[in-house]
Amino acid sequence: MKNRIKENIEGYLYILPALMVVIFIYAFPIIKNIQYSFLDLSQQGAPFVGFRNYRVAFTDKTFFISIKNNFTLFLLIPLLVIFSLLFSALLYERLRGWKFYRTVIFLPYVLSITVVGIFFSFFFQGNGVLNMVLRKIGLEFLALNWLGSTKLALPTVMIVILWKEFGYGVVLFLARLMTVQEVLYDAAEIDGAGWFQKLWYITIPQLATVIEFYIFLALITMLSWVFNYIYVITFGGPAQRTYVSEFYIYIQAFRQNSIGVSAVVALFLFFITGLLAIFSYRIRRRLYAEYE
Amino acid sequence: MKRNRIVFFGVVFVLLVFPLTFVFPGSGKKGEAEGKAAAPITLRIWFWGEDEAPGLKAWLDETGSMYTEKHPNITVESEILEIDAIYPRFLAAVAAGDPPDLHMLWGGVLGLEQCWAGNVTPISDYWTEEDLSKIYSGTRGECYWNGEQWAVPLYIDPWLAAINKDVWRKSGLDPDNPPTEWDDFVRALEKIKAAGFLPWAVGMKDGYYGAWFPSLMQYQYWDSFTELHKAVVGEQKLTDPNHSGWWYAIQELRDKGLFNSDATSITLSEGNDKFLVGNVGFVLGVQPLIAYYLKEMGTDKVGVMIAPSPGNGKLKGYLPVPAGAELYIPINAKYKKEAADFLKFMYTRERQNALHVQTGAFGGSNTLDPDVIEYPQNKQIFEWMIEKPTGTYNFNYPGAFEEALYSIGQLFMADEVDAKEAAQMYEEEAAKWRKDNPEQVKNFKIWIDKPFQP
Repeated sequence: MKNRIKENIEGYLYILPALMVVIFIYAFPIIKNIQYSFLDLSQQGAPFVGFRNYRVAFTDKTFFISIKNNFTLFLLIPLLVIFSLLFSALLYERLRGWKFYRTVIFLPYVLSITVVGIFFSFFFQGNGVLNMVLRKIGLEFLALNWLGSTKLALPTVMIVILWKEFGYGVVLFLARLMTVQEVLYDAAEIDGAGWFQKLWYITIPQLATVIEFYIFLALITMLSWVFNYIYVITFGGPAQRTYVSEFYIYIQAFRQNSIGVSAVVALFLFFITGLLAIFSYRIRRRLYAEYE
Repeated sequence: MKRNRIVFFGVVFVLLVFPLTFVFPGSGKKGEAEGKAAAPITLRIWFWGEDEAPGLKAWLDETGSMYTEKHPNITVESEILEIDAIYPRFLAAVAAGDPPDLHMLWGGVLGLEQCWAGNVTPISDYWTEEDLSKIYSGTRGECYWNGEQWAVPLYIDPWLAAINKDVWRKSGLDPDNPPTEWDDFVRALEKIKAAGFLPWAVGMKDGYYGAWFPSLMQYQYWDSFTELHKAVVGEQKLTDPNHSGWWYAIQELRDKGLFNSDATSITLSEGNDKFLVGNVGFVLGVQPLIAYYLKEMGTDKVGVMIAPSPGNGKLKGYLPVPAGAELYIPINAKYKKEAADFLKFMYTRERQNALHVQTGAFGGSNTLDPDVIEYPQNKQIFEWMIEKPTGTYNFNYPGAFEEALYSIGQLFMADEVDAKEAAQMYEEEAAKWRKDNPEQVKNFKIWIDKPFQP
């Protein structure tokens, strides 16, 4: 037992330098964030203000709009999974030109979000390409104020996110499908299973762990990787209706100079993401036990 | 084997201790003693403004070289900042104890917040009243607080309107005598619309125009900017007529269809770019943008005017002259005296003339020789800057008010709220800010008690 402890300590000491770097890069900002959340950095000496920044953040309706929008973006996740599943299953059929289709589907994912955002911010303008075409073909009633309407702006951004992100899921699922044993499908065909039955009883269970991983990734994306879309396409408008929590942090820190408030929201985001990570880890362990 | 272990653990110990020096920095003094004039020193200037006044860096470097000829022991180095990096770099440099000797920040409250945080030194510690009188009076007030002057403008962004003279003529209007009264202005816009042109191009998607409207119209209801400061601290209400008039004025234009229909889905720049197409009658803009219009469209096509307003205060018809960039001396700059002296050199007539000729922008000093001004439109602007300069609405309130105007302005322009509701929403945001920022309210009260007197 003593030897084992001694061996463990020695092992940890060997990885300690690298661990220190990782701790410094991740833990130091978190510690400073906690510190800033209790200070007013806009005043001389950065005085301690207790929980004032927390009160300001949690009584700010814009903060709640931001969180609500992040949760609204979660509605994209089932769509991402369904689209990715269907397209990967179709590509797996290896129809003629499937490699070309795979490339075309994956291409939006590799494009820069900024480039995509700029394109769609022009595309969806009041007199942009989409509305011009709609008016030209006699569908004027569909030429809506996509980015200027408080009701339509967020759904419009969601369409862009869905278009750009689902390619990754397709490639991920397809890669997993390539490792599924063909005999399972052969056996199902012999038993008279149709395309949809094969999808439901073989493909989806085989993809269970990958689907879980993709859902977790998508949750993290919708929580903390959509800033670029919002910044470029709508800048949080109209009337803050497309604010997300990252954008709120940016505005508080860099436009309002309220570093303390932005630190509070950053910690909140960190806490939610951490909970999701723990939850996902537990689900993944169960799925691995069941399906692998 | 034992020796290897000792060496290894020694290395681990050093690696453990070394990063802690960053986590717990030493209590090094915040500021060094003032630099000795005789010893060689490097004056560092970090600034933004090249995007708005192209050629500004070259002018600064030239000014630095000329200054070095007079002071051989002083070298001047300038560095351009990205717009989003201005404040983060300033705060980081001050916290690290190694800021430049001159740092650009925005004017008004956005700069004064750093004074309230104790991060900058007043210029008035080094400049006499005679030196300070060279700053345009409208601009001075925005960085004047508690009896001291806190910054010096690098260049000025007069804020006014541009008109397309061809559009006005074709609409049966006289572009050389644009209206100064609100009702005449509305009639002119209606005539432009009737002639088949777009009266006023606006872009609200990024929200800025929500603050542009009052910045060019609301101040004309007041006798001084103290009225805005009083509304900030709650002594007046933003729903009062002298603070909400502009909502009703713009509502009139909105309801008459005098703005572009895609206003809420395009940015401010995209809205202003419509002016270049040649079928827009009127846009708001800063002087560098108008200089760009003059260059692109021709001086015979572009006219300038002060934005009309229904207001009838003493500031009616005055020209807002905000600084495009203000230069501050950080509290722990190494060479404060030398930095202040360099600013005086920048403010000589020869340097201000060179700034205008090389960049097209107006420098911060009123010592500019009008003979070097090329375009008649710029000559007119300069005349207004000398005769009737005033401050800027959105330099005289907290950032939270500006953010509120962005979102309320978008709702308003999308016709989701009317003028009364918009003014009420604005006042509610102001009340929330007052509750959340009691220390800043005190700072504004000092501003009210000791206003700048031109």
